[in-house]
Amino acid sequence: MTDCSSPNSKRSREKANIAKAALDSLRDEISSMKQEIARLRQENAGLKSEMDAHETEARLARSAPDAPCDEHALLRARYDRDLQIARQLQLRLNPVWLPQMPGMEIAVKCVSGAKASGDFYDVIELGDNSYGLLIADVSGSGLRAAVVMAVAKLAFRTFSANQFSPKAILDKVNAALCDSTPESYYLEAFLGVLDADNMVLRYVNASQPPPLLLRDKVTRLDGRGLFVGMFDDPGYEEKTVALEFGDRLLMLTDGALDRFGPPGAARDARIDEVLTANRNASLEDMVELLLQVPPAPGYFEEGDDLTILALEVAQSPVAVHELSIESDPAEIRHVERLILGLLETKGYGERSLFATRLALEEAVTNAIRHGNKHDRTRKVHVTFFLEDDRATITVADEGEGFNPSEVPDPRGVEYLEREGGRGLLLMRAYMDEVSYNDKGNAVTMVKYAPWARKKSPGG
Amino acid sequence: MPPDADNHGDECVRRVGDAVALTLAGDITEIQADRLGQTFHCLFDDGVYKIVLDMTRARFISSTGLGRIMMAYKECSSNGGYLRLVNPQPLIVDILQVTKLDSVLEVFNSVEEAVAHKSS
Repeated sequence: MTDCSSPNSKRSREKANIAKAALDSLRDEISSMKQEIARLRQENAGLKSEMDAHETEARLARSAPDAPCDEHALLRARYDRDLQIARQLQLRLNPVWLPQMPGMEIAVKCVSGAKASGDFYDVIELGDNSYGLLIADVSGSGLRAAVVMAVAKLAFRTFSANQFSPKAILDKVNAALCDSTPESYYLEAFLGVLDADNMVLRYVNASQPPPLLLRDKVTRLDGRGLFVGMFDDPGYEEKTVALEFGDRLLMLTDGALDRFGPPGAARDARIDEVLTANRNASLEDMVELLLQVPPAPGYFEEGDDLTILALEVAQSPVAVHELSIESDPAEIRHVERLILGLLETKGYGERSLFATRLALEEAVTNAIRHGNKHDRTRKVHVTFFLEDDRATITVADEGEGFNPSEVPDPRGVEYLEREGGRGLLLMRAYMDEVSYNDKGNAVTMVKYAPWARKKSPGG
Repeated sequence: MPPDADNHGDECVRRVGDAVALTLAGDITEIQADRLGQTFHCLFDDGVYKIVLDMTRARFISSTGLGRIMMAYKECSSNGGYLRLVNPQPLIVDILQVTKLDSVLEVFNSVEEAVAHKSS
């Protein structure tokens, strides 16, 4: 079996080159980040001893309330200076450049609060048209939170190399942070990996407020998982959601959510109302709107960081997959696994999967048997397009072709008891559209999504 | 229902009265159909022309699988016997209807019922 990386296909070659370039640039980035981590570690160690000194001073100050006023003023000045450093560090760590995600729109707002409370986000290019989407909030505030944030952020970048599973990335980041950060410092994080070819989002929620998926109504992308950097076994649960054209994904940290009141059903309802009422606002406007909602009286406190990372599926995703197999019936299962797996993720039900499998089985068997005449040197080429409302499958062989109109209806009395000749009938019955090319060696079949118009028995 | 690696369409043969009951399980596609064809030929070599196919555990069947069953059906019928189906799952019943094979192949609720049935 050969897949999309087959050297035969120009598109595949281009794709491989792009992926390789992305990987190379990621490697460069990682090596510079490793240096940055080393530098930050040093800085961190320096800052830590400085902070310990501050804390001693602060304790002394507390134990001596009648200490001279200029002592307090000195502490105050140092505290202010530290906060300023923390805020600068935080600003510097936010991405200056976000990768272009084809078909996606992105809007982001990160406001560093007076307390510098450790919010950060990132969009990481993973190659293969996949992207890591990260939003996180470090416990505590000030300089320490900012340093933990820096270490965490670089850890996410480092451990996302060659990795497309958010759970695998988070497990590694968690282990690294457990080892390297002071006790009682941890973070809440949501990490999604968007496969922009298939518009599928895999995600883990490590105790962040669940991101909001706005479709007709709002869904919360929650899942099991403890804070990052605290426990050896945080029990991260990876989930998958298929995105559709027009979907908006909104990731908000506590600071942004707190404007809507204390956590609970009332807050959720209030947010949902604002989102659905402004469904037609642009993505940027929607983010602004969320930040400008009048704060809930008696609950919201100024000073927390506010972060919103928002994405919209701005183009109908069209995913193309190409697969070539040898003329061997045992190879059919590779085609079925790929296509049925993608359809299942997309939300196609049992009947649709059964129908598509049957049609594929018939088309590929015909291509092997009648088209390529079981010649192992000839291949069967399968192309698969997945759109929001339909799946389109083309099966081509390297044979002479045939005229489908010359195939008799196997339901006729004189043909009913024959052994063969039912493949074409089944393809036509179980798919919504079936057509052949002029030569007759390639069949194209369309299956409508269960949520689109229904016709065939597998509807 | 993606194909399952463990699903080899295993068959199990047992004698019920003067007939033989054949249990089909899993997927009956190109590869499994070849083995099914061989099983039928072994039965014919032994002079068995009364066959009951228990389809309860069959999940999937392609036109090749149907073709083998029709081959056996004709062989049985022309030798004074029968080939009957037991309890096919709804998705497989759909296929029988689409291909009009439900007008040829008789379907029963149990092996015993199928064997006890007197041809009209």
